[in-house]
Amino acid sequence: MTVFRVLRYSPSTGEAWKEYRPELKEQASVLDGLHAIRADHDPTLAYRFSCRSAVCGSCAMWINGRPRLACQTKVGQLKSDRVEIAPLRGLSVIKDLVVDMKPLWDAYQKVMPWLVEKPNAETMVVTKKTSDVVEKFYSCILCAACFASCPEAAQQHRYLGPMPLMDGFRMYVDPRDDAKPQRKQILGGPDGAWGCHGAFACIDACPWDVAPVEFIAQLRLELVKEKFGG
Amino acid sequence: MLQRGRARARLPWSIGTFAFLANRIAGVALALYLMTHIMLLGAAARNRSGFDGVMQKLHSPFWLSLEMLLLLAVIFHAANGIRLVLIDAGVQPRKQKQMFWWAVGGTAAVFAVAAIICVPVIIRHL
Repeated sequence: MTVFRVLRYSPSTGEAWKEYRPELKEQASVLDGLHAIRADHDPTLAYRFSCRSAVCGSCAMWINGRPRLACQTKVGQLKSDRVEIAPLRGLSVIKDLVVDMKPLWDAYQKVMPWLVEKPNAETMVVTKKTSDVVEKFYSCILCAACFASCPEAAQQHRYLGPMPLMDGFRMYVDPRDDAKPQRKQILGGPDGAWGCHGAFACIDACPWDVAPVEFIAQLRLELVKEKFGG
Repeated sequence: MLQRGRARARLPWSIGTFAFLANRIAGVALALYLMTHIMLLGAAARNRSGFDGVMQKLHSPFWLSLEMLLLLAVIFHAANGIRLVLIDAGVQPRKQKQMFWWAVGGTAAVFAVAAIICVPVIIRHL
């Protein structure tokens, strides 16, 4: 029987690992395991989930040493008789596996993830090249796995982090956007694209294989080209 | 609330994280070496006999072996630096793991050539 080892936390009792042996069906996901623990062992276990189909990004947590989506991760696929579950790293823990996403949303808001339309935006043509760049980002489900696995985001709390930078780049290259100077200041600063020190943890972390570092590298190139009048 | 980064879950170990750490360790070691090197040379160059004395000490097998380690740090730091520059230039960021192994292979090849040249010199000083 698979042992679920969960890092529990509450402000009153502190942090402690607890072990559970939930009864699971063959194709069970880690989320099914958590549901079984809550139903049969401890109804106080706190965790987030919503869509159960790897689209909403709510159930991202630390599973066997790396961030994964609990709904997408089958217990059998872990090839271990022990499933170790902890809250996402790099974010404050509210209770058990529920983390405070505020630092991520704050960083996300800083990059202005909306289009500031040019007066003639409606008649402008977005080229295939630009739309290809923008399209890649749509796979991102904002689960925070990249943010939580990034050593830079964990240490430098002002660093915007992989996902916000990636979305910032999406707006930066959109020809319909009218806030380029503002974006350049935010994304081109030391807390922006230049804050990434290349640990590349975000590539492995992403459950949708988006690779934020690809966008950060492109953003840096754009910034350098513009600096030298390219 | 348990403050940010305090939870006992650790960062995932991957090739990228290892390369990130190794590059920084090599970089700090090289910076420390450079400072020590300049200070030592500055102190030794005050007079001829002092300089000769320091040089004689540095030609011991122990110090020559340390120079091999220094060479390894320089080659690795340079090779991994090229990998990072290429990724920054947009060359296949997704292939960073393969590029790391290329950097390690390049380091091993250059170091092997250097060892073939330097090890006989060290042995002569035994």
